[in-house]
Amino acid sequence: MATPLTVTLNGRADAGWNVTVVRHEPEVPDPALQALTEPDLIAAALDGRPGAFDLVVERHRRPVYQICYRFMGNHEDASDLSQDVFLRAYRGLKAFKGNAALGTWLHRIAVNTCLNRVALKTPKGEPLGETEPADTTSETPTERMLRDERAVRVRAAVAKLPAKQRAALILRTYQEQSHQEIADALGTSVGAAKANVFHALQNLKKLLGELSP
Amino acid sequence: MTHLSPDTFVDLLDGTLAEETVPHLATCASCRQQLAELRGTWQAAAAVDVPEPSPLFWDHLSARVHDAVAADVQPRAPWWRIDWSWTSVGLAGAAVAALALVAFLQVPRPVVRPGGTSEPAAGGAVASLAAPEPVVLPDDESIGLMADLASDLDWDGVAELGLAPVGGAERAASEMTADERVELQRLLHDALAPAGT
Repeated sequence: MATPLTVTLNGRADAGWNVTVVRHEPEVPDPALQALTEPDLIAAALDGRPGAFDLVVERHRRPVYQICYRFMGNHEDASDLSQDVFLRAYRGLKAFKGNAALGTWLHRIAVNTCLNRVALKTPKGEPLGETEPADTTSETPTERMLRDERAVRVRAAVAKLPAKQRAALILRTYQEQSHQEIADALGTSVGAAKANVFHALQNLKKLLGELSP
Repeated sequence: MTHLSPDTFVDLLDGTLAEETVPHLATCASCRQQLAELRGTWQAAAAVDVPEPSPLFWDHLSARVHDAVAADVQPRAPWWRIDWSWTSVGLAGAAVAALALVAFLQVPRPVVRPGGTSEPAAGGAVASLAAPEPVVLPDDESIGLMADLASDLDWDGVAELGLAPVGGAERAASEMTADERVELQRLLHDALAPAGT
């Protein structure tokens, strides 16, 4: 619901400026949207139906953020890039033909957004304080600490890979995309996509050796 | 001896190519070792999760995207609907004066002391908003009394006295956020700009 605030600038009796200020508060999601299929939800977003694109964001924000985090290696950049990804997606929604799943399309936008960002700046990596999700197994504090340290090393190493190798590795390993999908995302051939995965693993092995205590 | 190509290594790692279908592996210790190392590295990478952000982060991200999309849709005036009806450019002066009044009321005012001992300002009292100095007024008890009363008067007090009626520009502007005031200033500036500029 909007909270209107009316401003009246009365300078003379016979004239005046009426300025209406409408403060928009977050829309309450329409429960009916939840029942829509993906194509219908996209159509609703294109029609400007309130809450439709918000629901797209809600459904895909976690995997998009995870791609961005894998790519950039830190929360701050991943958060900013996730916002950029969805804004780009909104702008390009009309171009989405539905040939691929919406999630795959968003992943592709995420990768391109990350590649563009990497071209501009070097990821700074995560601070040592960032930790893994809580583990439900009976892990001792020492084991937990070692696992966290290993994870930090691996993420730091991934963040140091050349951009296309990093993208190929992330899409193959964490998004489980086919080499054809990776090739489409990177604008390369399938052979080049496979070569990127191969060299990413080779370089990762080398980097992990260098980063080992 | 020709070793395995990157393409073949990746197919072996993916499992789309079975090791027994690659005779070279049985005879080349180097390629077997390389395959094992690549597999180990891949497994190490796959085992690493993304740290879970704060639970509040997800809604915050959604809100940021929502705002960014709203701003993208209406880049010029996202939060404002404007209905202009004006016949006199002179009204602009009233608008600017109203904003100036609000700004003045919100600027911390100096304490005014009747019969202050500071050096009197030549030609009357002068207050600088940039570097407020105590204002020195003529030694008049009635002015001093008024000054003391007004020094404790906040905006609500001004409104209660009827100096800022509901619907009036001063009051409405005082209820705006800083961003909204900036936007109003921009709108006024645009409206007052000579045509074609």
